[in-house]
Amino acid sequence: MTGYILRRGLEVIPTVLLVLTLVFLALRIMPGDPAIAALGEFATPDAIARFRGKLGLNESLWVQYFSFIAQALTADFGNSMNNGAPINDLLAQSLPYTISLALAATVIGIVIGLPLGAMTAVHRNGKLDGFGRLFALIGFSLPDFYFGVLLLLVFSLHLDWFPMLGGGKGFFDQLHHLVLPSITLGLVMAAFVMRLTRSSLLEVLRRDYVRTARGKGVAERWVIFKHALRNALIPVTTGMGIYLLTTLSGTITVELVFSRPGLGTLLIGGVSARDYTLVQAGLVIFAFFVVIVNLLTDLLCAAIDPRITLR
Amino acid sequence: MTPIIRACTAAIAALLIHTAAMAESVVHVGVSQRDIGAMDPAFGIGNGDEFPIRQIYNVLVGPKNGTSDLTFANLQGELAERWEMAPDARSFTFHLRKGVQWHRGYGEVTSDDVAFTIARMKDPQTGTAYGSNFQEIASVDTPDRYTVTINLTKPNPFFYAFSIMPRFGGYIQPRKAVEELGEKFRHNPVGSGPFAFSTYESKQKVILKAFDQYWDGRPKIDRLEVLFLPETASRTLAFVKGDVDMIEGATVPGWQASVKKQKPDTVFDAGRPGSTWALHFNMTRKPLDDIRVREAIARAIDQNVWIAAFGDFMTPTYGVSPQGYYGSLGKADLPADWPLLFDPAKSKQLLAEAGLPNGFAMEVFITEREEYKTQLLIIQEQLRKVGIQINMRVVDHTSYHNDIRRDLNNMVVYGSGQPPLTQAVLNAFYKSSAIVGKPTRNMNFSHYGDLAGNSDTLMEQANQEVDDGKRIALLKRVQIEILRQIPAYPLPSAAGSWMHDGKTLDIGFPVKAYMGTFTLAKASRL
Repeated sequence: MTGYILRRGLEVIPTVLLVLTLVFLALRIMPGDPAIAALGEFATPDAIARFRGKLGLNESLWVQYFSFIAQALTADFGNSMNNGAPINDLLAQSLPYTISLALAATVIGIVIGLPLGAMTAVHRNGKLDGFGRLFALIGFSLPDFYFGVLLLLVFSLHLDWFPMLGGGKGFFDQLHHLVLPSITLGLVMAAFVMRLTRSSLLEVLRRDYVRTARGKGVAERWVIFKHALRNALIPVTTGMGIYLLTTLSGTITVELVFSRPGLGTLLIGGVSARDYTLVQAGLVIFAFFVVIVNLLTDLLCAAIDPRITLR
Repeated sequence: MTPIIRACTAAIAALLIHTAAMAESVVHVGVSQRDIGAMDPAFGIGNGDEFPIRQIYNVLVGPKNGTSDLTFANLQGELAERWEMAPDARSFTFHLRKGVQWHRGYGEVTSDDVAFTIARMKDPQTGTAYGSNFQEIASVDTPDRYTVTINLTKPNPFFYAFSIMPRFGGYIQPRKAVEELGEKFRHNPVGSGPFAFSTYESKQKVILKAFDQYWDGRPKIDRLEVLFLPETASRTLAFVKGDVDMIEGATVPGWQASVKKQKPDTVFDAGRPGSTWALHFNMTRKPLDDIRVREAIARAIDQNVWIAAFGDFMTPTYGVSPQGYYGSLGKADLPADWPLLFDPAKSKQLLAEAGLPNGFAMEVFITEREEYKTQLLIIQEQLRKVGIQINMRVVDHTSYHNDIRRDLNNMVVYGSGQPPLTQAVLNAFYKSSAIVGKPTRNMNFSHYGDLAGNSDTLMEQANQEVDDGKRIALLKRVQIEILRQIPAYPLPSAAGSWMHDGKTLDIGFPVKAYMGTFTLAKASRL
């Protein structure tokens, strides 16, 4: 297992390097000057030139690139170009809000999507299946920013059950602040998981070994949970891994709607201010998540199905 | 001590703490910025930075609370208790209040701090966001601890409006704290204002606390929380719900009415005159190089459309600066043959005369910001009626500012928070030295000065004229001279859009005008 993890870690190095290079180039290609964004319309051209010089923006692209790679490797991303704060501090403050949101959304997605998907597959074309498909349709169709505002209107403004702003202080307050944003993201994920589970389970339920189990007189519940669902979970797990990454990017919009101080808010601010160092660091973190989630997905698949070997 | 007594003591202590917390007067303010840029006045830009800065620092003098009147005799002293202008308007002397204290025990505010601030703001090494406002200061004399004389390179009776006012870099900073804290001063500010900096939580809020030793009396509000709420919908909902007491508004048609309906106690602190808006024609591009085409565009635009959409939040503009700016043009000042008056029939006729009887199409890019996009959408719809097709391309705000300064747009919609002086608008947008591409502030998007006429001399005369009557006459003359060439079409001015809950918050004075934002030194919770 350790060897496998190390090998996978080594394998992702070229991918991460490619991502870093693309991120670096994309930011340099984007029009917009970090100096103008930071200093505004009353700064002298001299001040703008000095600002650029101070941030190393007058260096050649190669120098800037290698300096960025060195920062990424040492995990010291320097200071924000826009407000001068240490980026590692900004990331450390933001990450818990984003991770907790993504994880809570995933839990909601699994807790609702998995059983619902299984039940709709078992009761195919029944009333429950109809409800499940409608749920999935709504989940996929409603943009998360719109759904978030709806939740805010109902549960925060009118019912006053949940807070409207921020990330909260202390464990319980943070949980309280997490409910609406995680439902916003989690229900979309639940729709996805439900569809995936349903189609995967329907596929498995048609397999010979399921027919054999039924022929042998195994109880239907046992057939579904012991034989069919376990096999159906492999594509679901892989799909969820991919979707978790989508959820991570989905946190950007949801954080804005709920004014959560997470990584998404940080990145959006960084992009609009052309804060190269901040955006680069944020995207490195996102790339790191991609690697971790992919690795965890592989490990989980192997745990579910012992026939899958970690090589 | 028995467990019962211990429990009772703890309960009483908790109750006392709770009561004290309940008694604390807290006001929450929602700004549209994503996070603080800087609380160092040398680098803070935008209302999100300006709001805490206005509460933490003082200026020497400013317009009276709730106004933007920059007339010398009507100014209100903050750190200065008296001030004089030399007859030739080349030097200004300020006499400081005695005993004014810096926050956190940094001592008394003295003339040395004022001299230090001006030197810091002017110094190219500092590279401040307001450097251009300090360029005409030649020297600063500090004959004693409480007297400061600012000497200018040339006469300018309104120099103070650019460099020592709120919003434009005029906040006085403590030498000792700036030198001691270095880079940390940016997020750990020390001022002399009604509220002292307490805490900053990245992307969430800045907390300020009442300064007990404030020279004008301790504020009635104990704690001020400035929250970063960039999403208009969330900010508005939080205001309607009562989570915040005061917010920055939005320039969206119908928005004010909708807020008022949800929350009838809302007080709109619509500061007038508001910001300067104009549609600048890039006269290097065809067919905008033809004055008949520019007039055709101007004749197709009806400012009443904005008034109908936004109500009294918008005010028609007749000259280069909004009505209410010092030296601005009113309707009565316009000559009978004024080429900027709405007349769609004349517009079509002019297009035909210019060889474009079927109109023309033109690409214009615009920032995604609501207030800009709305302006261009209204213009687009009106021009369509005379056959001019604006193909709108939306880009992000930073790209927009970058690309318009690279002279890449055919027409530029630009909104600017200048000091409420016509000369400030003229200098920024119509001087030949400000033409895009030149090593200056780059906001003359029309190329006026190199093309279609040049009014630099007249503008400079207006800047330096000491006599008030003559100065106003010059400012009106130069505006008419420029706008006859139609390098730009002045758009209605949008009022400042702060609002507060009239049921919970009293600002302390009627808010009729402001520059960016205003102080809560006199505010109280109701």
